Amino acid sequence: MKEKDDARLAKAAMKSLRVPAPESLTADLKRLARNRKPARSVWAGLRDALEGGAWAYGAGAAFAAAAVALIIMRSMPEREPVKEFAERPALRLEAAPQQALRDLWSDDEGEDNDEI
Amino acid sequence: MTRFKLAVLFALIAAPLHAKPRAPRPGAEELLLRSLAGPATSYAAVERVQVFLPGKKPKALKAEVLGAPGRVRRAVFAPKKNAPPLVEVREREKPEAGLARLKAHYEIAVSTGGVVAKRRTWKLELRLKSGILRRALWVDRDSGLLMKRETYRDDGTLARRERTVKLELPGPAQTAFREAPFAGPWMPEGFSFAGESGGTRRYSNGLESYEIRTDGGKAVVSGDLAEDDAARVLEPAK
Repeated sequence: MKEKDDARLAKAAMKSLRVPAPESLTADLKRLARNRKPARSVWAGLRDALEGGAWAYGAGAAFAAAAVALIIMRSMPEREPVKEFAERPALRLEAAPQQALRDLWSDDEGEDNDEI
Repeated sequence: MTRFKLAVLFALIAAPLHAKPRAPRPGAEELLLRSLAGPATSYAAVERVQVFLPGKKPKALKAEVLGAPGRVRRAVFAPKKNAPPLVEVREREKPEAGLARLKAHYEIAVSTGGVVAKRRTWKLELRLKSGILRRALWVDRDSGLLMKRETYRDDGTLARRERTVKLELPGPAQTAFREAPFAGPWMPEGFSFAGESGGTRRYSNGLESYEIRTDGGKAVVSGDLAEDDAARVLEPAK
């Protein structure tokens, strides 16, 4: 008894899910084609872009400037990388031996004359 | 009027007519610039440096000087035999820079200087603004070479004399120095770095000395230096 009920229920469910077939498939396809917008050509898109507003000119100028800058930078000879600034190291001086400096001097009379 | 008186009168009139015209005295700055630039030709000289310390016997040394336009080499030979000479090679600084420094400290006047090493000279007196005579320079009239320089203390006593005692000008044709000019902080002739302690650097020539220390972030000089030398030792090394 229970199996009979189940079968009936399954049949009713299948019936509710069934989509009614179109009366004419050709007519349906024609209707869909009519509703679809026509595809725009590439040339029409380009023309629209060129006829665009002021922003288009700005974007174009920026693109052109970037392209020119890139070309110039690539054509320039490569520079050596800039070394990081470093404070000049303090000059390393060696202290002169004081005795050697003192030995350069000798006693003198303090005269102010030419060498004879 | 007797004949004798007439003859004396003619002689007195004739003497100035035969006398050489006096050389026009140059301007102080012009002469100082010539002296700082040095001669246009090479020269060879012997220089005597004398130091007069208060209450002590004077000390002296002799230097052989070889000059070329823009560069000077000094070699000091120790009296002891076989001791190596102390050799200094220096580039001359730009005369305008030297003149500006001297003018900043001194009033400069020119007078007749007499003869030094058989050369007629002009004498330049460099006085502090207070009137104290600090330096006297004797400059060769023909070449502009500094022939003699004296430095005085505040009380007017002589502290130092550098004098050319023998000169060959123009000098030997070959004046190419093997030694490179000293690169580092400027020091007066004959002075060397003598040591450092506690941030104070000491320089000496064996008899005199001066120190450079930092006081409140500013370099200060103390010691036996004339004002222009004290200013120059603080200038950055070239």
